[in-house]
This record gives sequence, structure tokens and C-alpha cells, in this order.
Amino acid sequence: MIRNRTIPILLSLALSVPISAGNMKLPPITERTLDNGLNVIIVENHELPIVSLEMVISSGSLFDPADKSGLAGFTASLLRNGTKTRKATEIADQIDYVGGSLDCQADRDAVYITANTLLKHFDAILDIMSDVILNPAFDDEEIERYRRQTINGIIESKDDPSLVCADNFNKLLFGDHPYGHPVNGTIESVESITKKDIAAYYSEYFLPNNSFLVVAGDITPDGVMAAITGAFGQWKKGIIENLKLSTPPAPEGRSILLIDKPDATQTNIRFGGFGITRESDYYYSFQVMNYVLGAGVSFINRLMTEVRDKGGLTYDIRTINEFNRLPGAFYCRTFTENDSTLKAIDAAMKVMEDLAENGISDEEYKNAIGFYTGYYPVSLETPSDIAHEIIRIRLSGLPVSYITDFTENIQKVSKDDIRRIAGLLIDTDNMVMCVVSRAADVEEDLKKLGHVTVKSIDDL
Amino acid sequence: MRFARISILLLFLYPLAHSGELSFPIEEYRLNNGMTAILLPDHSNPSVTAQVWYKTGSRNERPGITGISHLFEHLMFKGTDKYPGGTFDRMIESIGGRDNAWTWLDNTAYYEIVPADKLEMVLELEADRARNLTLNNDNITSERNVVINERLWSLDNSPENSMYEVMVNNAFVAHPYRWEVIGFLSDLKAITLDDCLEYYRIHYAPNNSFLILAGDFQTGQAKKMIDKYFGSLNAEKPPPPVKSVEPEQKGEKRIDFYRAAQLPAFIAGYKIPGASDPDIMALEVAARILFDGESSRLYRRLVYTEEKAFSISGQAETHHDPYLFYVSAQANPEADIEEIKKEIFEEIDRLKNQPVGSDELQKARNRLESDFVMGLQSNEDRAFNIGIYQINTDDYRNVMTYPERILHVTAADIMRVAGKYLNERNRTVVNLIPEKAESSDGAESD
Repeated sequence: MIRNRTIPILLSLALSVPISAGNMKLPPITERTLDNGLNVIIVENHELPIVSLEMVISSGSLFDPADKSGLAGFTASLLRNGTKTRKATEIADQIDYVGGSLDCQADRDAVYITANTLLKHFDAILDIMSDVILNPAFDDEEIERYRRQTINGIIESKDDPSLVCADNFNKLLFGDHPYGHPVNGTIESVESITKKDIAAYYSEYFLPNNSFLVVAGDITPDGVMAAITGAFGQWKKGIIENLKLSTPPAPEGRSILLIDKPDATQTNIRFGGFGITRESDYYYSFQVMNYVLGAGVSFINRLMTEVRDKGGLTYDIRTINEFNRLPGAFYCRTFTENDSTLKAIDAAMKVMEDLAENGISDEEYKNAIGFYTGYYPVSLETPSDIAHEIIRIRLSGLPVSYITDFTENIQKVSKDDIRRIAGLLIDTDNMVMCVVSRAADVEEDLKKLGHVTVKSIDDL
Repeated sequence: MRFARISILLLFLYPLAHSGELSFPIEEYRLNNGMTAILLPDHSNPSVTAQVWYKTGSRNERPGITGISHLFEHLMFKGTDKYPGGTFDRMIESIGGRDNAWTWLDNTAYYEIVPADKLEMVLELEADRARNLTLNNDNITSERNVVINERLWSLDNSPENSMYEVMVNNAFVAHPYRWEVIGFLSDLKAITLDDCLEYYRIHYAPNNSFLILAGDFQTGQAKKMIDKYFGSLNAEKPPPPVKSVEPEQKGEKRIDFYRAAQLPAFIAGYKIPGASDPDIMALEVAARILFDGESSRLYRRLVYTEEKAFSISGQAETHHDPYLFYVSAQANPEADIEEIKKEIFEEIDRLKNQPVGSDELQKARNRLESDFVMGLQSNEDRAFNIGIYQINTDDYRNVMTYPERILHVTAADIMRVAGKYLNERNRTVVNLIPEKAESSDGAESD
């Protein structure tokens, strides 16, 4: 089952770049490029006999045609469901037999094919992984099966109020822009996707020069490159069309969508507007600002302190910026009991407005800088932690030196920078809000905040 | 030096079939007050994980105060005289650390992950809150509301988790495993300051806890610090033992459970022994054969081939005392849940009647081995594995014999344990019957 590996090795060795670790204790990271343009990043760590491989195709649901949302996810998921020489069941049998994993999925910006294995089964997993990437069958029966499963999944997801809230918030904020569509698509769009659409998506974007591979674990660059070249060397490069997309207009005024889920005993809330990308000049200022405001890494941020600890109004509240290729949303999300809905929203908005108006204190500033200075190196403990950080950086078009420069860049942020980014992102007068709750319990209260549109969850 | 000088020095040796062996040094010793410390030095990342495990969880509760262990986990962050409310988190975060805690059936565990040179601060903070916690009505009231929101969010919002709760509520009669860790809503609302004070005194003594350190530290220095902060804590009378033993179940229990949900579903739980029992390994292998991966028997038959089920899941869930081997399934919109149930029970019966083939057995072993090794990647993972084995089996060294025990499971063992435990009379079945809630305000667009 192992692919013949006598194919000539076509490495551009000039591009092999060991990355200096600075004062962080990073394992050796090496970058190489195959002749077909496939970039390979190798993270070496010999603590355990395991290897992870992640192929990233740099085109996700952002590239879905307007009436075919879900196409990137559909294409990605079908990879595992059969190749020219392996049936779907054979792929599952072979991966499961060696105790490995192979996941194929999409998000807004990319398709990810991820494999994990013990070192002793590396050849077997690499062979299956390259087969599903290079030779997918897109068999009719598998297409129909996946279509039925996806539609059932969309139906079932109505049981998850936070997911309903997220999808409808995106729709409200981004409208017809691809970021306004769910990555898995809608029932209508999934019904309309054809084999031709899938094949076209695959041939347009599944190109080695539109992809990169991160290999992490118990391997050496020289040892692994022969196998990688054998597996992916024959993949033909192609031409990547530049995507031209405009950002939708920013929200004006407040629009509130209330989704009636009559059995809800708890309200899910999400509100906000557009955020920034990793390439933004304000990226590091944002990190420091958000640590103080509502980042998930902190239990002492202002929102957790006011809304959870003092108010007892929720179990979790956070502010999140979606770092995508184009600006994603910057939003606040939380949940609370139905009868405390207005109280929780008011408390959260007050905290956000105060930060935008008055900035942060010296002590908060000191704590935030201290946090990131200590946290960042600690957060890159395992090879897969490092691999995932590299993937995030790559997709944002930033150099890998981002890792070694991170703490220094955080320390350069000033209190004035934080005030500027807070002023830019926090605008509670102009935003969209989605609330999923029992409408009869919350509608009157929400009207105090602005214009409310009510929809039944059954009509979504 | 206050800690006893008897140290056990071990290597966590894990023989791998074709790739040599894994080894992690482990040192264990006991302080005079009865607390145990387990040290796992590893210098590959400049960080250290400290975990304090208290041997108390929902198993140690009684009706009227269900959920107190978990509520208490929240209260442990509310401060002491020396480090008042919020100081703990602020001190950890301002040096780039993370901290959190989790409560389970048999334990409550607290952890910090900090840069290596900050270990002493963490030990001081943990030892301080182990004995000097500020407990008052204000703290209890605000955390009670946080926990009620947590219950609504994690359990009541989810058809699957609610169905699981109904299963444990009905499967157990005498044993405290019959309520969920989060507790009943009425108990959460009724727990008093006195309940909390008593719970703290009884369960948060050093002799009812152990400490695990994993990461970049020097063992000698770490021991000095542990002795300084934890060695001075006084031992208490041990907590009362859990005496209730679940009586043998003598017939299937069937419960119809109505709630809003998109898809019909069911869950079935079979009583199985506690984690130390030698039969557990074969039950874990049986679970892998039935549910694990797209090639597993039930996924292949019901989700892939027949497309009757939207999802299938299950596991041999083990805790300190006897618990449940469970299987659950959601039906696709057009499918009949009763048919799915029948086929699942057929597949379970097949385990009793036909020996598992050697390839299928090897696959299950490979998957267990792989998950085991993948679960040792970070300091936190390794400490967690040590801690959970100490809690579940009273001896963390059982984690080291795990790979060997996987290899020893035979096809005959699987037939035997399936016959012994996976029986109709030993089963609790909950049928989730979807109900449509009426639109709450007519949902007219305004």
C-alpha cells in the first residue's frame, strides 16, 4: 500500500530556512518548497513517537459562489469518501486500523486535511492522505449521501441556540458577502450543489502552489522530505485567480434580530460590527485591549468581572475578533437567563462604552503586557501548538518570525494605541445584534434598545 | 524538613511495539500531614503545571446539596484574607499564566500553567486557599447564579445532555452517581453558607488531596517549596466514606422523556464495575469495536450504510465506583428510532455470540494505544492522566500498565464481558420524544 518512493527528489534546498528561536525555547522549524510550489514547514520534536500532518488549501468558504454556499465544505468532506483506487469504506478501515485520524474540513479561509498518527504508521497515513488530496473520486452515491447528511445536520443544528445565534448574526452583519453564509451552507444551497460544481472547485483551488503542508513531530527534515516529495511531488501546479471582493458597508444604527425559540430558558446574545485582520497596524494593540475587555484567556477582564462575578448574570461572556483573510466580525457574546436579558446586555454595553471612552488604567496595562509576555511562549508547548500557530500566521500572510517577535511587539503597544483601537472597534450605536430566546419573555425589553425584528426559529 | 523522607522514584516506562519505549521520570512522596506529591520533571518547555486534586466530587454529596462540589470549585476563586477576591487570577494572569478547575464525579481539581520561574507563587496561592478561603453569603449568591446559568447552558439547552441526565437519574437508586455533577436546580438554589463551611472543612484537608507538578522545575527545589507551603497545613479527620452500594438491577428500566428537539433519540446505559475492575479493559475494547471511528460496527451499519442514524456515540464510562457502558443515537428525520434501537441491541448481542476477528481486535488495540500516546503530549496531559488514575483506581501506577493491559484483551474476554454486563436486565433506556413548543408570541414580524 505504500506508494513507490523512487520518484526523483525535487527540492529547492535554497529555501530551507531554519528559524531562529530568539529567547523562546522553540524546536527546530524548517521550511522547504517542492518544485510544484508546495511549501512544507517541518516542526521537529522527538519527545513522543507521533507525527501530525496538516495540508492547508488556502481557499475556504470565502470562495463559495453566492448561490452555492457550503461548496468548499462539501468538497473538503468528500475527499475522505473515496478516491480512484479506494472506496470510502476502505479509507475508513485503513485509517482506523492504524489508530490514526484523517479529518477534512473547511472554514472561511481554507480547507484543512489533518492527519495524526504514531510514527510507526506514518507511511500508511501519508499514503492515504496524499491519495485523498490528489485523487478524489467525487462519486455520485457519496455526493448524495453527504448531501443528505449535511441537510440533516443543518436541521439538527437548530437545537443549538448559540450556533443559531452565530449564523444569524453573521447574516445580519455580512449580508450577501460570503462571510454572511454558513460554512456548511443552507438547506437550499446544499440542495443545489452539483458534481460539476465540486469538480470545478477542486480543480480551481486544490493546487500545490495554493497550499502548504505543516509536518510536526518525531521526524527530521531530511528524513521526511523524501516521503513528502514522493507523496506530493507529482501534484500539478496551476494558476490562482485573484479574488476580488469588497467589504460590505458597516452597520448604521442598531438592528436587532430576535429569534423566537419558545422552549428556551436562556437567552443567547451576540452583538457587534466589523473587526480587523492580523495584518492591521492595530493587531497588537487589539490583543492588549481585548485582554482587558473580554478575551477568553482572562477571568479578570472587565466583562467577566462586571457581568459574571459581580452581576452573576452569566457563566461566560467574551469579546472576540475573527481573524480572517478579510476583516471578520468583532463581537460580544454571552448567555443569560431570559428575565435578565436586558440587564446583561446593558451591563456589557456599559463596560464596552466605558473602555472606548476612557481607555484602560496603568495597572490594567501592566497586567496585560505581563500576561502576553509570559503566556505566549508557554502557549507553544507541544509540536501541534506550534503547527497550529504557524498555520494561523501563514493564512494571514505574515512571516514565521511573527512567533519570535510577538512579545516584543506586544511590549511596544502604548495606552494611546489601545484607546485608538477601542474607539475604532467599539460603537454600540451602530451595530447588529442577534438574540435567541423565548420572544414573549424578552421582546418588550429589547425594544428599549432599538428596532427589533422577530423571527420564529421554525422559519429560518 | 517536614515531608517524610520515603520517596518512590519511578520511571514511567511505556514499551511501544516497534518504536522503543517512552519514559518519563516520576517521583512520589508523602508529606507528614498525609498529602501526596507526584513530580514529573520535563525541561522541554520553560513552563510548569501545578494541579491540586481533592478527592471529592458529586459522589461525596447527598440529596439537598447536590452540585455543592462544583459550586465550591467556583467559590475557591473568591479569595482569602491574604489574597482577596480577584487577586488569585490577577497574580496568575499578570505573569502570563492560566488557571482553571474542574469538578467530576470523584474529584475536584485545580490547575495553573505558568512560566517555570513562577512555581513558588502558585504553590503559595494554592496552599493559602486550601485552608483560608473567605466564605460569605455575597460570594455564594453571585456564584450560585453563575452556576445556574452554567447548568442552563451546558445541560438544559442540549437535548443530548438532558437525555444523559435522565439516564443517570434513573439508572442509579442508592449511589450518589444518580445526580449529575452540576446538581439539581432546586438544590443549587437552596445550598447555604453553613453547607459550604462544612463541606470545606471536611473535604479540603491536605490528607484528602494530592499535588502533581509537571514541567520545568528542579525536584529538590520543588520539594522545599511544597514543604514550605503545604507541609504546614494541618490534617483533618478523614471525610466519611461513601457507603451506599448500588443494588443489582433486576430488569430493564424504560423512560419516555419529552422535550423540544429536532430529532428523536435514545440512550441506553448498562451497569459496569468501577475503574479498578479487571473486566474494564475488555469493555473498553468492546466499546471501540462498536462506536469508535467511521469503520466501527454501529457507525458503518447505521450512519453510513443504512443512513438511519444521524449520529451514534457511546463509551465504557468508568469512575471510581460502578458506572455505565452507554450507547446513544439520534434518528435521521425519516428514520424509525425503534428500528435503530433494535439494530444496536442486535450488534451488542453479536458481541456475545461471535468472537471478534483478529484484525478487528488489533484495530481496537491500535486505536487505544494511539489515543494513549497522543494523550501524553503536554505537561498538562501527563499530569491529568496520572491524576485521573489516582482518583479512579486509587493508584496512579495503573496508568503505566495500561498499554500492556490493552494487549492482553482477547476475543474470548470481549464475549465474556459482553455476556456478563451488556444485558437487557442491566439496562436503563431513555427515549427522547421530540415535542414542538408553541411559538411564544406568534412570531409576527413587526
